[in-house]
Amino acid sequence: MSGTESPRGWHADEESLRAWADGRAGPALGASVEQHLLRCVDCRAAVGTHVATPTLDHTWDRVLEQIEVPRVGLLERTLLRLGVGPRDSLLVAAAPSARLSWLTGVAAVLLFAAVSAAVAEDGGVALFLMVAPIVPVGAVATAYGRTADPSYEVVLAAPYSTLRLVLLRTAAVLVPSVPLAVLVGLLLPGPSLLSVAWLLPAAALVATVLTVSAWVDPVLAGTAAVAAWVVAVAVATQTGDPLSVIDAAALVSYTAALVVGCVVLLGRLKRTPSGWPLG
Amino acid sequence: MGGVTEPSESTDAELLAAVSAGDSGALRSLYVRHAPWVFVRLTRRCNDADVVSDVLQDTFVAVWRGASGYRGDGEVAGWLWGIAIRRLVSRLRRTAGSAEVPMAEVAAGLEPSVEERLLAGVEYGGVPAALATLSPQMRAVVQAIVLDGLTTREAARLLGVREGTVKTRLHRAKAHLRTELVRGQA
Repeated sequence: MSGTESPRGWHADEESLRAWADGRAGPALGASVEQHLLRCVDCRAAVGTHVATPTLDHTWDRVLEQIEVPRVGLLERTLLRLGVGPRDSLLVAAAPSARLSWLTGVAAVLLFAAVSAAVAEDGGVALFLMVAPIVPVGAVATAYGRTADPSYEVVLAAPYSTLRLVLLRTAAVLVPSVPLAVLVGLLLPGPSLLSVAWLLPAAALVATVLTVSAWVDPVLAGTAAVAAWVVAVAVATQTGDPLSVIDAAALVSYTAALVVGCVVLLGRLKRTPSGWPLG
Repeated sequence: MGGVTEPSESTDAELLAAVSAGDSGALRSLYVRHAPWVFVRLTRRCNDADVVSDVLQDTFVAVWRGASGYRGDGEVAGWLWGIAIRRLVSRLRRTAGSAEVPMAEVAAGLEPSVEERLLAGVEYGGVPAALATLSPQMRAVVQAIVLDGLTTREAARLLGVREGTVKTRLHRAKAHLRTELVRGQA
């Protein structure tokens, strides 16, 4: 400690220190004491005996309060800034699919699909068509539920509508993953319709998963939906044109499924008293 | 401070290293060592007890978050005071409705100037006497800039005057001190 090694013969005497601590010291003495204290451990310790401890203890308690508050994550802070309530922000940020690792995974999968599509033309288009809708469905399925969510039990016991939670988290995971998938779609060769047309089946699948999740675990519902979609694309590819899964007739049926899903969800939402879990 | 862990034998720098590793016990030791004199020194610059308490709290919270900003050169006490006085300035600025001083600025303003090194010896010789002959306004400027190491802008904030006024007073104060010191030696 450099303080002890440079007392340079001069120490603030007891009376000077007391006068300074009590605010009685004049400017010259005050300046001397203050300069000396910067370098002298002993005199600094001596000041402690002249200061009222309750004030310092109280301030220390407030320091502790501040440093023990858990750090708020980036996602949560962004949501708070966007005007989402603190309770909703915390619940959304706690979803497994709201983590960065998940988003990285999504990017990697899409990139793989895009590269394959660019290299293998027709087969690649089928691959992208197969993979892209899985992204939002997977996000939604892992946003809530016994299997995927470590905070599931806590959430279930809380006086908070589970449906509201599911919808909130759905919105939160769709916002980053859908633009990512659209971007990759735009980079692909082939009909430009392809880059956005898959959004409709994806939306229909998401609506179906959300509706069915009232009775089965969302991961199970999601897996089933993904499997059905993969089979459909595979069959279409085998029979000739993978793009037949997004032809006019197919798009109409997706729209129908989407509408039915939304109606059922809205009906449930209306019957749910706000601030209470689903019965 | 009643029932508090006796500050250990570790140096302040070692305690700071522990703080930057997340050891709140080390922060407590630093608080026990330094809070009293920082508190008194702040009180001598601001007579609002609530503001002083807030600034003391801000200072140690800033130490907790920015302990890694200590570059290992110079006294920890001086570094701490640099944070505290700037927190005080920014606190006074906030009540005036402006922004806070960022931490980077805190680290920047701590190089000792020639005057500071000269006046760092105020406990010896004729400097205290010379200081006492200054007018209260000039003394406040000398205290803020030379002893507390503030920039002219920060000093202007602290003292509630314009920057130009601070520069003029500092200039006159230096000239006055030089004359007084020469006369003292003669």
